[in-house]
Amino acid sequence: MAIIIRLDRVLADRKMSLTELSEKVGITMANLSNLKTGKVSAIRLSTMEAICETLGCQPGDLFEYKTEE
Amino acid sequence: MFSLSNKGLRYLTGLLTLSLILGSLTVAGITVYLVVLAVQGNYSLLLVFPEGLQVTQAVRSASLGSYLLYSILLVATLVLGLFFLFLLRSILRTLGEAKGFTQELPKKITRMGYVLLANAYMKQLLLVFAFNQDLGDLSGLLAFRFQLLPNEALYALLLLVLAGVFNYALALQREYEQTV
Repeated sequence: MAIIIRLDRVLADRKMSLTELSEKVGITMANLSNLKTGKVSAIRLSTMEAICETLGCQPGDLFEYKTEE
Repeated sequence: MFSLSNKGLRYLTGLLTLSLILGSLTVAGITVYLVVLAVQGNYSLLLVFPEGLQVTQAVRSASLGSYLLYSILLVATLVLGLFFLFLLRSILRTLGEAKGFTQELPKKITRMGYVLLANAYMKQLLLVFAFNQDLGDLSGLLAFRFQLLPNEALYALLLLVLAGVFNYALALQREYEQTV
């Protein structure tokens, strides 16, 4: 997919683990792991809001668009 | 989710299994009977009428070739009918094993739809074929009109539409599951 999820990079910048984020945001580890590995097809605005609030970032920090060759 | 008690499902599956066994034996018996008739030189056609209608008067085929063609078509129609029952039993088993709404379900319903559609037109062909033979005393009394859209074909189309709806529901379910 042309959309790359940069959750791992933001987590590393914040020195936060996926487990910690899962506890703070209230999303299961399985779902967060799927999000991190790009195995999801959609993300709810409420989920995005919770992640951005916890990580103190913008939605644009979490996603990157790359043209497919 | 579709829910039917396990006991009810087991009962229905058992009933269909019994029907399949009896149906298979019947088809095998009819095949043997048709072969015996051919060997004896008696080309009487076994007529398949809808809704249990029967004609006691024998309709004889003019030649061995047309008799064989009719017999093969008849056995193929019966086998397709059995295959329809087999698919229905398979769906009930899937539901009974609590697999719920799986990708297999619309596939099986689609297959059932096509089988029923083929069966509907094969029955029509059988009757067209039979009524073009020597009807003997029945000549002039009975006639058959080919139906472009027989009842079974309508049921088959309904099944195909149902399978399409299930497919759409599955796509929605998949999308929901892939949303975080």
